[in-house]
Amino acid sequence: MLKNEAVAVGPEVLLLQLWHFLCADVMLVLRGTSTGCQSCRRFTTSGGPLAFQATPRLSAEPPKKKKRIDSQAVLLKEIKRRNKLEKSIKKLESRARILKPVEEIHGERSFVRTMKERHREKPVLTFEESERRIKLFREWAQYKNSQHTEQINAILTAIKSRERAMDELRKISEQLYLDALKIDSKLIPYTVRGPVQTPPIAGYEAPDGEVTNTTRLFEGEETHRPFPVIDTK
Amino acid sequence: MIKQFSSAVSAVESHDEKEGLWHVYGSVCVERLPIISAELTDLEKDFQQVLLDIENENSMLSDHELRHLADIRLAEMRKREDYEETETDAVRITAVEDEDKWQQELKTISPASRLTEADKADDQKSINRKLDQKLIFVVNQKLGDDKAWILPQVLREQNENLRQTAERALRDACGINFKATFLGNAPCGFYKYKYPEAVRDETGVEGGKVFFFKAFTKGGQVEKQLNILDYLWISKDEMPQYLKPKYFKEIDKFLLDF
Repeated sequence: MLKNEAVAVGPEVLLLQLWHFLCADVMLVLRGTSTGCQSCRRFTTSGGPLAFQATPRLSAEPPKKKKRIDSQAVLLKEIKRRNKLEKSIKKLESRARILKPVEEIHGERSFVRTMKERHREKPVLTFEESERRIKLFREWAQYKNSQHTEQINAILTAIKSRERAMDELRKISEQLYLDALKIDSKLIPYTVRGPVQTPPIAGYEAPDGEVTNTTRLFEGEETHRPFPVIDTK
Repeated sequence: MIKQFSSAVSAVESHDEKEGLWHVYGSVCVERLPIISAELTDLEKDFQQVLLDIENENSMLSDHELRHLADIRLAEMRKREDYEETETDAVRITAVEDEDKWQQELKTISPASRLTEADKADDQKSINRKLDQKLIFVVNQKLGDDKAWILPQVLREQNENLRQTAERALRDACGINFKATFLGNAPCGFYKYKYPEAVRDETGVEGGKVFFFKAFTKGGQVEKQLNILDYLWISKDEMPQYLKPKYFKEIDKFLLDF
């Protein structure tokens, strides 16, 4: 409305009008109220027109455009979001079902690739050699069989010997017999290490080494399993 | 003998009117387990070789063998006139070169000998002999007026079970520093012997009943005690030289040599 008037009247009138208008506003601010402003006098203490105006009206931000909510679009968005979530859940689930490859079953990939190169020519055995092998296998079977029989017999003899000792002990004293029946809990578990190919060198200290675990980590695994610590004492 | 009896009269056990009185002894059979694996027999060696051959024949070429084949191919290529050496081929280390390097490295490592000083000197008192066999601790102990090579034994005392007696037998023979693991509370063998007639008449005790316990060495040094005359670490096949046949026959039953 102000703008329209200015176009009709010209710049001088516009300035004057603006001047009055501003003065009224200052008064309003000074009075601290907006009621009854029509009747109050307009005055100012300064000679010139005010170049600026410290009113809250100027610091107000321009009114926002009202957004029109399209319910159809919201629904579509919601469906999209849900689909996305479902997809990611499915992906996770399918990944959980991936099993660690067992090298013994699948074979190492580099080997599978070079399988043809790795073919070894089978030597043709002479008659004597194949005969010797067959004989040796037979001999071995007999040797192992007799060894096994000997060992079983030795164990049976040892068991008999122990049983006789226990019987004799019982004849002497029931209490001693019962003591002998007791389980030695310190003995369980009992482990013995060895034998080895060459005896340990007395006073030998193995040099310290660094261990790098090169085992592949699969999804869901964060750390390697610790190396087993072997107690050599 | 009389002294030994008088100190342990309480240990006389009478369990049967017909059998009379008997002394009860606890004895310990200490074994040093083999430290190194036994030497293979001829048959075992032959069979092992055949198994290795078969394994090799049925195998596929290893990475190292592939590398060696590639080396050979490269050597042939080099002979050709139109061959141009690439940078990677120029610095290539062949498989054979590596093998030589490894052989050199192997030479710097020297394992301990399978034969020990005690083996060379045939020192039967040393525990470090015959590393590939079981060794058994035997003592020369006074039995009355006699002395004999036996497994260390002592008379059972009152309020003592037989395992404790056997542990004491070991302590009395080799001191407190020698450690052994006893294999359970049950005796593994039994031996009965009669005293000479004079002793029987004098004391009224028929003889001794010995109960054997098995133990494995756990370390420590043997310090010969006063109540034994001598001690040896011997394998089972050396035993008949020292032990009485009847005694050995009983012990042999529970000595497993494998």
